[in-house]
Amino acid sequence: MSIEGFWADMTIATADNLNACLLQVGSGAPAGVVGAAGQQGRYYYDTTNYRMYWDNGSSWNLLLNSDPAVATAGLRTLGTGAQQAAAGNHTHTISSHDLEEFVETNAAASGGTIKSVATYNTETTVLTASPTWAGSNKTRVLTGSYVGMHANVAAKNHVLKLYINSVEVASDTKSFPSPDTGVYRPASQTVTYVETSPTSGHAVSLTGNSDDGTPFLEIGATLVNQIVTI
Amino acid sequence: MPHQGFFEDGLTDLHDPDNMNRMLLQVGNVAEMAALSASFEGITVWVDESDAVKVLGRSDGDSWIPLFSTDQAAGTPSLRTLGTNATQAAAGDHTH
Repeated sequence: MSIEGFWADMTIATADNLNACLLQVGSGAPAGVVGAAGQQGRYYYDTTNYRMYWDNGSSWNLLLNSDPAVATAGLRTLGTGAQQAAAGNHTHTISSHDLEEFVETNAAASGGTIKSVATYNTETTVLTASPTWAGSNKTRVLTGSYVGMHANVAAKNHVLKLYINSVEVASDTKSFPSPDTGVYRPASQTVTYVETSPTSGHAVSLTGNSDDGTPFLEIGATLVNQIVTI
Repeated sequence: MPHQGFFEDGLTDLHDPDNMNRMLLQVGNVAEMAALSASFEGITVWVDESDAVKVLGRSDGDSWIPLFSTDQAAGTPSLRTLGTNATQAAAGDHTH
């Protein structure tokens, strides 16, 4: 790279030309402060608009700008504009939060009989639901919960799975305790899935299974569908 | 219109190498840059105190004047560190 600049020879060594080699400052575009472009190598800083310019010999060129286009590096103010940076302590306001809760219709009631549906060896649907919502720019948080127990003398695993439109999206395996001196010990289990840009597929289902031949007795199950718009 | 700077007509200061070097960017801490800036309008300084304090400044013939620095008020275009304070910028992968 060759050295470039307006110094053709030393016969132009004047105080003004030497000063032209120093950073020039002023308010507004350089042409209005130090004159039109024409001396290659001069540089100028606009103290009002936070912009750095360079004289390429024929025009003033912007080197550094404030709040330039997204892909352009630059000084940034803070705010919510498309070309500003977000402040480190910024917050978000939730514009809507829609919550739908679905309870397993045959869940055991107080004083009633524990449901005989057993989830073992075969994955069994314990709850289905069709949340209703529409729109875009949302986040879906889907949580399934299960309460049940078993009668095996040892702790046993139960697998809880969550589906959207028959596609498995999350699962959880949990060890449920054995009965304590003949007294059943119900336990709970949850599974959660966060869908960041849901566009379709409202139908959801929750399944349970025990993969070692131990019957699990379901006490109840719920599905909570939360739609958050920010 | 004349350019701003410490060179004066007559060019009596042209043969001092220090004056030639004063045309180059000077880098140092606040005290060093303050000493360099006295009496010489046009010296450009980069004040480098730490990763979070970096200031481009220019001497007005008395002291150096900041042109832009780090983590200024929200409405002032500024170099920004990343973090969670009010004058920092949020990192691109920040969470809530």
